[in-house]
Amino acid sequence: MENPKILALIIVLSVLAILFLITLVAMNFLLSKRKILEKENKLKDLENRTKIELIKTIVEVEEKHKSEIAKDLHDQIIPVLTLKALNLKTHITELEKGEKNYTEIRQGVDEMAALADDIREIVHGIVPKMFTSFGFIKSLETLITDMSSVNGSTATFKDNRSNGKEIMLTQIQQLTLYRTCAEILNNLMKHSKYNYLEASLEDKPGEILMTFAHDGSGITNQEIEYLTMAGSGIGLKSLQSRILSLNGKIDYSIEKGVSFIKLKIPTSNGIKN
Amino acid sequence: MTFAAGYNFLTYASIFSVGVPIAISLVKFRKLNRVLWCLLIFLLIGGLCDAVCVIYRENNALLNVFLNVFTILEGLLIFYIYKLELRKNKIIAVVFTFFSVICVWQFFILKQISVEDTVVSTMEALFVILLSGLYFHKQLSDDNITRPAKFYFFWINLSFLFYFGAGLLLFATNDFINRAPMNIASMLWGLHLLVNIGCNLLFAFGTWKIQKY
Repeated sequence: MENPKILALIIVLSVLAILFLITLVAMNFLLSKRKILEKENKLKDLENRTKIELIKTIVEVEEKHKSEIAKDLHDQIIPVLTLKALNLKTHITELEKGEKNYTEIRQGVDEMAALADDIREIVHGIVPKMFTSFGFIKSLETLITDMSSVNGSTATFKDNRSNGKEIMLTQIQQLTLYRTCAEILNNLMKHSKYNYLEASLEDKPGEILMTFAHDGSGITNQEIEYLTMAGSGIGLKSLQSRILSLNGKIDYSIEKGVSFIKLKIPTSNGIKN
Repeated sequence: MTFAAGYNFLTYASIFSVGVPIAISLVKFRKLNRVLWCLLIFLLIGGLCDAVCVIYRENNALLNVFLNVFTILEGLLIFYIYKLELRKNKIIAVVFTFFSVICVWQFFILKQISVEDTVVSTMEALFVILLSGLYFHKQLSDDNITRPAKFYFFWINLSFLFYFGAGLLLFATNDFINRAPMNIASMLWGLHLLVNIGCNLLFAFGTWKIQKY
């Protein structure tokens, strides 16, 4: 008779243990869900803050650019224009009096032509002349080839596109890509101390791949992330913001002593202008 | 108070406790979704079965028929509820097929439907525990459910897990319990009834939550 009692007790204790376990599982589940949620919220928060930082950088860069243009116009163009206007007024007054001095008027016209050249230079500072004249590929090739003469290093450009057709990006996107490549090349020149640099352009279905491979000091994605967060300068952030505006991705890696910077730009829908 | 008296009290308490979630379902009937309608049907059938078991407790064969039929209906209803919530049709189809085969085998081939059952109810408990675990897993990875405790089905799922988790051992040792002395059997089935009352209250709480989500 004792055995049924013992077995019954075991059953009761087991049932109570199961109920207790289920309660623990439920509590653990609720805690885990809360932790997952907190983590997701933190990530979203970080993503939003990063986006805001990048947008701020874009605005900063734009404002800086506008200031430079305004300064150039103010310092170079406006004083000369004002002077020319005053001179012309004087010449018109003399002409009205009957004093004909065409030499000074001709001089004024020549000076106006020179002023137009100055304005043209400012414009080319905004949009590179090479880019407007020869397009993205040629201007990039020229930029890279010009780097060959710097410090005895060698820089080559390879156009590995499958066909010779135009790149499927708008003019503004091509200009942004050109500026992005120019900034990357500038950073490489300043920091990597390479002897050999090879830049190549490939087009794949729906994207363009720009690869910079060099034998100098490379950097990884984690290091770039750290520098971007820690740095007070806007250089890296400006680079990131340009890539973001193209909906592209940049990847920094080092493989077997060769450093790579790979830029992927989609050419299909969703590109931000 | 003897075990038998305690068991009788708990029997009636368990029958009346079914009224709590049913009453809340009726109060909230405009807000009820398909899952809660199935749960309401399940509770009504369960309450009816409990009442019938009390009335026909002296007639073992009839009692067994009622209990076995209830087990089948209960299983099918619960699997359907989980089908609606989990939306994993393949898993539910496998569970449903296995359960149906076991029912047919036990009740119509190996034994009769008027004979006491351990196997079908134990397998049912195992399947529901499995589905309950799957639901918790789904809630963990579902971004739409940010606070599970505020979601109605969390409580209903928990209730099923409590009932069948506790019941698994009792169903599996049904033969022993029925051959054990009256006081031991009363104690063990009394524990089952206590869990049943708790689960009905959880069902009521879960049903109440439907308005807020």
